[in-house]
Amino acid sequence: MDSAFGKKSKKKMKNNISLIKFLKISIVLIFFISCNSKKQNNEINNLNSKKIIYSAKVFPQFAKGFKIDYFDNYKLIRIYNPRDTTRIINEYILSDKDAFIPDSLKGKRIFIPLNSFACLHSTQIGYANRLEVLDAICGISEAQYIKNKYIHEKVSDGEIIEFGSPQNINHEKLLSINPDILLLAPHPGNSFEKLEEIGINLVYNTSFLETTPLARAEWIKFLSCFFNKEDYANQVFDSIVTKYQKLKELSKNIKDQPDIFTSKKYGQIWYLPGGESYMAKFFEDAGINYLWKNEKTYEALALDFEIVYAKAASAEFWCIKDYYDGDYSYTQLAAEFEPYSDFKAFKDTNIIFCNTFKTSYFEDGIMEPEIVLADLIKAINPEQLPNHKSKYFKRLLKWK
Amino acid sequence: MEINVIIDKLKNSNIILNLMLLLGIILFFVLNIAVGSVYIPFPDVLKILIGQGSDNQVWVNIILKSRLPQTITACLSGSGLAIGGLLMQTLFRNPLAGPSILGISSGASLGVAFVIMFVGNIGGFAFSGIATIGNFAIVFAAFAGSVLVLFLILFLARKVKNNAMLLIIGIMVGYISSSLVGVLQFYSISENVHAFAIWGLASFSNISWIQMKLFIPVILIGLFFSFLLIKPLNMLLLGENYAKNLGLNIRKTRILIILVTGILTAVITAFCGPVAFLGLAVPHLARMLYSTSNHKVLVPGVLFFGALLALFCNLIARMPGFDGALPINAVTSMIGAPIVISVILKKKKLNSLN
Repeated sequence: MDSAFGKKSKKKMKNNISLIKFLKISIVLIFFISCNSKKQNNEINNLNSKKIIYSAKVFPQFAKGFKIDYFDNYKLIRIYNPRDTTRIINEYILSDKDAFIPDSLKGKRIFIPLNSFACLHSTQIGYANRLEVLDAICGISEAQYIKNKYIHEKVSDGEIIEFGSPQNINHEKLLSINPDILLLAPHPGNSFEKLEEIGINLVYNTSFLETTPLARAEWIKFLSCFFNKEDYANQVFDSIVTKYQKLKELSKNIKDQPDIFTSKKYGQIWYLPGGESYMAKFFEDAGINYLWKNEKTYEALALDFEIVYAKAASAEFWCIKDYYDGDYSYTQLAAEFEPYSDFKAFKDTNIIFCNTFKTSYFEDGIMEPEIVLADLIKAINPEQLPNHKSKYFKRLLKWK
Repeated sequence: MEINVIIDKLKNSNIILNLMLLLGIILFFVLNIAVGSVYIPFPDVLKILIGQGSDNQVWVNIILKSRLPQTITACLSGSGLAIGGLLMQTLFRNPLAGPSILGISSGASLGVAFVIMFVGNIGGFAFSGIATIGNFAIVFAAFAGSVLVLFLILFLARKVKNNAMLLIIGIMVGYISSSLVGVLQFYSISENVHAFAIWGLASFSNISWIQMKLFIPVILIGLFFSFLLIKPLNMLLLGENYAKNLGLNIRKTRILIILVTGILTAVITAFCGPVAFLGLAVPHLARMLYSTSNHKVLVPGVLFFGALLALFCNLIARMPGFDGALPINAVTSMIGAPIVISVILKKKKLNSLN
């Protein structure tokens, strides 16, 4: 209890300092805005002394799943399905605890900055890690799929509570840790109505539906709103964009784009990412010709083995992501399904492999699209980026 | 007159019917190889099958490594399961018995669920798991699970005299393994549950040539033993007491029947997943067609019919001009269920059993 109290008071002090900062900046801003518009001038006259003006703001450039509007004493966040932005999935009103919010506003009220939050999927931890707000996490699900060391330490110390899996949430545990919000990705098939009923503040993150790497990474801005860390999020994201665009320029010069295909057979069906998907975008930006890029869909394609084999038999590269405990090898791949060894990419040992067991691809990879892109460029053409150290995707070299 | 006599004789020996079935099998066998998602001209298909090869190596690989093993598997699995179904229906004198009635395929499911979900939970994510754990592990787990249940049933078969009781025990064993599967599913992530569900829909396409070397002989041996069982099966039709009076060793016969069915079901389920309905529906179809319950006729008839129906289902599952594929169980059930319904409606045919 003592330590928790100490933490809180420290945080408060921090907040006070930043409050002063905010006020300083806001005075300048007020002056600036008042020169511009009369209408806004009236609104500013109505401000009372308690009100905060959010100085740093974030606006999504690439992401389509969230929009943020800044008002005098609150932020309004709207969440959409990035693939169908005609319908609002949820609205959140982020404000100070004692801020006055008109009753006419519909969205769910959330008091910021957050003291604690829980997350249901490991991707959220990727965002939190990059935003440096991991210490606010109080609950997680499925620790075995989380790579972050800090989280694991806290789980074993008992400071972070594990509350089950997305399909099987332990309501009592979740209630006992009482997070300010529960961040989750609304995957189809999972129902969270019950959680809402028992009084958990659900915040939906639809980043997993974004179809480009930069859009997915941009959701760090979304999380930053809950901590008033917009400035920092902008900084982080801008540096990602700069690096990513630079790499993209690099691969623009490639004339003979090699062919690539991806994933493996699963039962009778080979699921391939659609031509408009996240993975297809990576291939495009890396200057690789994804064989199904003309299938203009976000959804996965479900194809018979024959179809894939007939089209990809002579493709130069084969990109596989897999969760494998050990060193993956060509022999292992052939053992899974013998005809895999008939692909040219297999024979030429041109498989690009990402082991999601050993790397934190699903966690940190989302916030490091520039590294993923560099990995892919280097795997195809090692001379392009001689100094880059591959992190997620590497050429599969082991035969046995 | 003489011609009529010959025709009558032919009718009695079912030569025409068997010939037609055989021709049907050959036709569907070739169709299965010639037709698929990828279009390959028929002359090329023949050339490749004869061994002349083709300029297009992709076609050669598709036919020899994908379609041919799949077709052979479908053929043998159909026969094996249908024979298993016939044996169980006769042994238990129950028209709704099938090869999986003794819980053998539930045992296989339990083995696979254990590998996919439990091992997956320790090792991690198994969306890919079903692939990375490897086909071999799945096959092994399924086989281990079903053989375990088979031995349990065999052990109990020695203790329980009454066949009806044995049937109930088999169903109970099935329930136990299903409930364990349920527990495993409940505590698994959705990817693993999905992987397991896909396995449960069965597929003839996962067997490699290396595995075929094991699959083909085991099934053939099982089928061979079913021919040796023809006489005892016919005796069992008369009722256990009559069979005993005729000098049949009931206990030995029972164990042999369970063993043959068990091995066939275990191996097929291990390699293809729990293929539904074929084993249940084919014996009924055969009984209707041959209008007899004499196993001398039924055993070869069921064998042919099983192969034919499985080939037909496999063809429908990979309909030409369709880029994906349907799961085998969706097709077998769609064809099998109406058959079972029609049999229930035409109770007359059932009377031949009881």
